[in-house]
Amino acid sequence: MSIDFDVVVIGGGPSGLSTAYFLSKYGFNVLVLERGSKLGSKNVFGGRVYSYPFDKYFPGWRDELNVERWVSHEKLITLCKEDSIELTLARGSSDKYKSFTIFLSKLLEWMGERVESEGGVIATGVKADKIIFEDNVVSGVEAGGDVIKSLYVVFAEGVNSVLAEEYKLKSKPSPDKYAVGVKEVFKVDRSKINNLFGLDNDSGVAAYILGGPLKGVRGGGFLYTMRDYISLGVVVHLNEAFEEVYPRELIEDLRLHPYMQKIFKDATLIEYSARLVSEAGLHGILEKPYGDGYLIVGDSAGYVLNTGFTVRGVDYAVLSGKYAADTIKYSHENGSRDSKFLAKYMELVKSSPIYHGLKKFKDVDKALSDRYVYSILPGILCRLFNKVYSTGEEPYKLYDSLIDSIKSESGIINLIYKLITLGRSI
Amino acid sequence: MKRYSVEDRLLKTRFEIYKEPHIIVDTSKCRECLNKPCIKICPAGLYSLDEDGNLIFNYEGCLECGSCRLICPYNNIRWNTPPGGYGVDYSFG
Repeated sequence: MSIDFDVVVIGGGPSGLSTAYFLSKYGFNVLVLERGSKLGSKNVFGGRVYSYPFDKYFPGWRDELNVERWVSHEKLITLCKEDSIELTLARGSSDKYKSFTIFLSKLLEWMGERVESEGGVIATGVKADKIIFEDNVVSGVEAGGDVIKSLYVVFAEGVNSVLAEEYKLKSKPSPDKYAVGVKEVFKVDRSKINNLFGLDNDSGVAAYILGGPLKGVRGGGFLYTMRDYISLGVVVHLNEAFEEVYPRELIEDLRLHPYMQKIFKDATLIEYSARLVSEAGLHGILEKPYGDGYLIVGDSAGYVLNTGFTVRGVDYAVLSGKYAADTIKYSHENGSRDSKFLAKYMELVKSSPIYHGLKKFKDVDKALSDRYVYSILPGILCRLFNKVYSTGEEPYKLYDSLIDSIKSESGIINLIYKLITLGRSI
Repeated sequence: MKRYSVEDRLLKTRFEIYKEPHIIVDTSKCRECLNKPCIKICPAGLYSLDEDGNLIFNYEGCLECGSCRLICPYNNIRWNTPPGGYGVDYSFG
């Protein structure tokens, strides 16, 4: 057969561009098809990326990539009716460079430059419409009426893997283990951001938010500081739509809480976005993310971990792209497009931080879908802090405050049982 | 501080709308669906009921999240992405 490209990568997100970068580096002739009009047009995430895969595989990245802020402050914010409780990890200076905030369009633009500098081709505004099979081996794609033949196809479609599903390379996911993330990005003066959180120009905040308007809703909120912007969002379990829960209104309820008002007063909304988030963890990964002539990477393969406090996604995407490239290199050296050789991909994934992380948190999906946690914990914390720091005539003892707070929200035995099961899974 | 309506928010996001819808909803079965979770889950509020209680859907303003695709209990939403270069165009995703 005549070959147009050695490899076609469907999707120019973090996993697709990572795959394309390493393959181009190895000397493969690679084409990336991105349906968005530019890199990042269709990509949404919370706001934080972990540095380690870039340190490992993209030497020199710190000099090239213009990050928004390094995450120096991790915050756990519990909202009460009007009050709020804040717990902050303020990192020492050496540790703050281990994760950063950025907009995906900027990250992908830089990854795209890396791909092109290695000779890879990126076609934006082009959607892969069909998969071409020859003797049951995936042998290319059809895009906008053009047939593009290749030795290997890498599916990097993201969470909505429409094409891979259409051809039964993966099955449609169940809504039970998915959440919808809704995000609002605001322009906020840099000096105001710095003053609000006690930051300098290159340090930033990553916050996980619970309680307040989110009390009792399976999900949570997040906030990330960019240099001149703040991203605020909620992640809500899909099945909440069977209750009276509207994620699009919850995010506004959150923004209008007194804690947030001081941050977002006078801020200008510049973009509203949404995406699906897998909460299935280990149970959501594909058993066989490969087959004759193809591999599936990143979000499409289920490589996302929500630990309950943070989300691993972009780092897993970048790693899986590296493993996909290594696998194709290995198969090609053996002159094969057979799934027997491409199965090496799963071996690489299984001995990687992706699989180790997912395995460690294998029961987290149960914790994340347990409404009890979201309804009682914020309530207990709010009541406890208000009792301990009582401003009335008589102060309360810590022990009495604790018992009272627990009793007001739950039974003590029930709470202990829940804390143990929860404690084991997150 | 004022509350942003979904319409206000969608005006901030850039779209290149294609002439044909990328999502087709078979509304014939929606009357049987008691919960209609699509109405609540869609971040862009694109699903609603008309005066006669029929489900109506507008693809313009679709954020392409895919929530409706997964949530529909009757599997009645034929979900695809718009043609290349069309649909939502995020810059701050």
